[in-house]
Amino acid sequence: MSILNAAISGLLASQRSLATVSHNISNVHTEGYSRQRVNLVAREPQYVGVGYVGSGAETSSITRITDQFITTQLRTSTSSSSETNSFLTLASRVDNMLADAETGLSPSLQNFFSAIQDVNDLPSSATARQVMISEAASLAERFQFLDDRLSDLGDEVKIQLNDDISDINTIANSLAGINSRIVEATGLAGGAPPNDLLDQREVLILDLAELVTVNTVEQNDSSLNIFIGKGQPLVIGNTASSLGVTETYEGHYEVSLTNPFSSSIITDSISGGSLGGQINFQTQMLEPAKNALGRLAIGVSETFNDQHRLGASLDGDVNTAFFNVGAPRVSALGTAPNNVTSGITDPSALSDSDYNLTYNGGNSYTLTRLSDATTTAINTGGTSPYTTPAIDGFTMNITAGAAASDQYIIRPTVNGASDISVLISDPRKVAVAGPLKGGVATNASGVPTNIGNAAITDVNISTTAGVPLASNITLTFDAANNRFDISAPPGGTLAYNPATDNAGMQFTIASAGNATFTVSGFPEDGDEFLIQNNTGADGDNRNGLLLSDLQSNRLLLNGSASYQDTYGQMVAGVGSTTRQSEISSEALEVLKEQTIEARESVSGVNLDEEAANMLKFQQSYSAAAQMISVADNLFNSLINAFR
Amino acid sequence: MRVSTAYFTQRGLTSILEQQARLADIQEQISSGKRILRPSDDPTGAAQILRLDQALSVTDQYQRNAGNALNRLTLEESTLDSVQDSLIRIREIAIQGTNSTIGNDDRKALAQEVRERLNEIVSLANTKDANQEYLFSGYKVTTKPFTEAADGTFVYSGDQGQRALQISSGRQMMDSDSGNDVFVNVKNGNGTFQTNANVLNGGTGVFDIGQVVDPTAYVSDTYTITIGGTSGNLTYGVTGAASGVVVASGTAFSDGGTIQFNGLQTGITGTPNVGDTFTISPSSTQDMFTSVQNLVKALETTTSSPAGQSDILNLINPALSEIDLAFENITRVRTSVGARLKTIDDQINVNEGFKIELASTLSKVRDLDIAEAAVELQSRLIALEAAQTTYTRIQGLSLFDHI
Repeated sequence: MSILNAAISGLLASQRSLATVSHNISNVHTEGYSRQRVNLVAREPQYVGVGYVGSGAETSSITRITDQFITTQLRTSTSSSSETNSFLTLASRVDNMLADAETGLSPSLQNFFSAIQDVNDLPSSATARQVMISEAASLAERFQFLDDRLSDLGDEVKIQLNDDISDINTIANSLAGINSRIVEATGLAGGAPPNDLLDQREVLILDLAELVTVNTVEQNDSSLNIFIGKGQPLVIGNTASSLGVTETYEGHYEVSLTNPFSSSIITDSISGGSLGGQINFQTQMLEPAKNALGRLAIGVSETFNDQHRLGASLDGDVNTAFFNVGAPRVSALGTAPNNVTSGITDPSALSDSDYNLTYNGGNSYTLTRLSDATTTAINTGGTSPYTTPAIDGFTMNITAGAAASDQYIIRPTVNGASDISVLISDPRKVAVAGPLKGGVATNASGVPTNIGNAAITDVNISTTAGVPLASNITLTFDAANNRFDISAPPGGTLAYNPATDNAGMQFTIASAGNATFTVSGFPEDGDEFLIQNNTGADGDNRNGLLLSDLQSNRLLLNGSASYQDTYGQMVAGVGSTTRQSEISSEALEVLKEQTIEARESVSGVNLDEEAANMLKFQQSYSAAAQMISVADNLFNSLINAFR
Repeated sequence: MRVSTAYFTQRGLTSILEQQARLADIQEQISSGKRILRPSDDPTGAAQILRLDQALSVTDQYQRNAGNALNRLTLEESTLDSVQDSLIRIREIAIQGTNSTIGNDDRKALAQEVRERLNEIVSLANTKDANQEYLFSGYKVTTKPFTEAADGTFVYSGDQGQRALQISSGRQMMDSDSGNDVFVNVKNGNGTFQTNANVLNGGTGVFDIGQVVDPTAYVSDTYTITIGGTSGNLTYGVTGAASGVVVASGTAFSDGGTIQFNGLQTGITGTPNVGDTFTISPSSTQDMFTSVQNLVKALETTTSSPAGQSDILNLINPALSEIDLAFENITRVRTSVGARLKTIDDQINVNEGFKIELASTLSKVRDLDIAEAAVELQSRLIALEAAQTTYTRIQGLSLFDHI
């Protein structure tokens, strides 16, 4: 009978092997499927006195062919690749936005300054002035447009974060469910692995790795504990935690983790996956870009205003602001009272970072620059309200009332680009003239009355204090004392010795807007110069020339860059970050491909191989069947012998 | 190494998609003609393009400014040329007026023409440019610079401002001159002092307008020359208001001889009467319209006596000198305008050269090398075709077909 038993065992073994080949072939395109193999062993032989006779084959186990090392590597490379991909997708949007000459800031900036020059060419022209105001408005609109696009991207980040987190929560629940099924199935089978469930779990983990970095720890009961990011527990056995999105302050989103015991913000622990890419994009590109744009808008509006204030309009007004300047935004976190305000003092010293202000109790606050965690201690000395010294170009005004560890987020430049606008609508108010002029005294017919040949240059001012003048200032030369007597107000004298100073001597009258002018030549005793309000000077463009100079002056980034340079730096910064992520995305994609290839090489189904196996097991099945037939013949021979 | 069937299919497809993406890139580059399509293609280059674009557009603006300055200065130049033509004609008339053979009526006719010429100069001084801005009113371009007051004198209502335009990054150019500088700020007399014969003089003495012969010895003062002695044996003396007696009275007088003291020299031709006085005083500023009007007044003087004739000469001579000074002043302004026109012309050429240089640099940074791109396109097409062919060929192979 041993022949028949051995043949039957061979038949069964071949049958199982063929079934597995069939299973493999069916799953050739199933995602995450690992090919399975029937492990055969020889049955325990029978002792027949002279020795052991073999008694056939038996199936010891059916296992899937996997490599734990490759599996882990695939998760890692999937997370990294997905992180850079999602970063790159978002970054490319910013990159594209800045790429187009039509949508960038450059043309508007250029048109605005060209319009100023056109006003300089023809200051009396209302049309030229109107064009300048319109160009200024389109510059402001362009700032707002770019800012809006960045804000749209912020909204998109929020939507993507929500989508990803809802996916993660679904996967976490599925994993918790599959964990318990695996534990059950393994128990039922006395420890034999439930291959296809394991594959399914692996697929889920890989899906999770697309979203965030995953680490797993296998338990004795075959369940897996799943940790995301830098060790945040997502699934423990059959219990899943859930993630959520929290807007900690306007436009800034964080990730929170909730389990039955607690809820906490874990943004800092999130890494990898598209979730990590989105968070990186928010903190490393979107917020700095928005701030840099705002900083440029503040720089342009503030410095332009400073010069514009020093000019006179067609009606002789001075000290008029041209642009509205965006103010810093302060957000009190949690229950902190709204007792902190902030203002810009020096647009060239601004950074593109946001700041965290924390109250430590007593008189002590700590300001942290979020981009590099530089801290500044602030001591109010008990004063309330207390104005801090300028830090990075802005100050804070703190009123007492905060509770210890209250926090504030201070964003000095975030409103810059959204709040810039043109304050002037009347073309006459554009201040391109110099407010004061200098000249020799004349009689009623406009004929100079001086005897000497001394001359005075035009008068420039550097502040508007005392301007326009309440009355003309007359400088009368006193030959005996070699000086000019200044009429009151302000009175006083200016020493001028024609013998030594005739090539030109510069004077400043502080009380008249720091009026600066140069006197040269040889005045006679009693010769007079007049410094007066520049009324009716429709053709004067002195302040206009200074305004157009702003375009090339290095006024921003601590005096190292012009408006255009600052924008260029921003564009180059976005460009190189995008380029960098493009390169690493390509590299990580290749790495991921290689890992997939390695995994497929080990675990993937090859139809040709299965065809060969099929033939092999078909033959062994036929052979085993033949053996049964032989056993039958033998049995028949034996029976016939007794007939 | 084993290769799984699914991966085999996948890989073929991936490589076709990759080739297509690369093809799309080069297609976009070729169709736009640009090497840099977005900042990430070349971050440094992108920033450089922004800078070059700005420099190019700023230079264009400088050219526009220079063109405007050129137009205004050319207009000023031709206006001043016309003013000088009028002044030359006025001068000719003044010299005719000194001719003792012409009568009162002839002089009146001459005076009439001078008046017309004066009106011509005034209207030239009130010239507006193409933008309706007055050319000679300083900063007050919308204020008419010269108006005639009720008493017939001309009032300058402009100011002493002079507007500059930016014609290159480091150069501003004045695009006009104020009316004060061109027409008003001229000294009367001979430029240093003015000579004046007393209208009550009875003799025929004609006072020379004089000149400074020794600037270091010249003392600015009001001097009075008094004729003394007896008829036929005239003497003179000179007293300064501040200097006191500079030439003792009793010094012998000669007709046409020189009178020299304190660094200046003048003379009296003709025969003054005893007691006639002549004064020399420092020049003051006098607009050219007043000078011309003085000439008109001289020409309109009616006389029949030799003494009256000399009075007219004593009026015409200083007016002639003042017209010459006004002419010189305009020549000075025209020289400066000419120099500015030359500078602007040069700057326009420099700017043009700079623009070409910028444009060629910009093109190097931004534009695509089409030949290179065409070769690249060809090679990418071949790569795509190869990927597609390989895919279809390999997909057909299976062991199952042979069982």
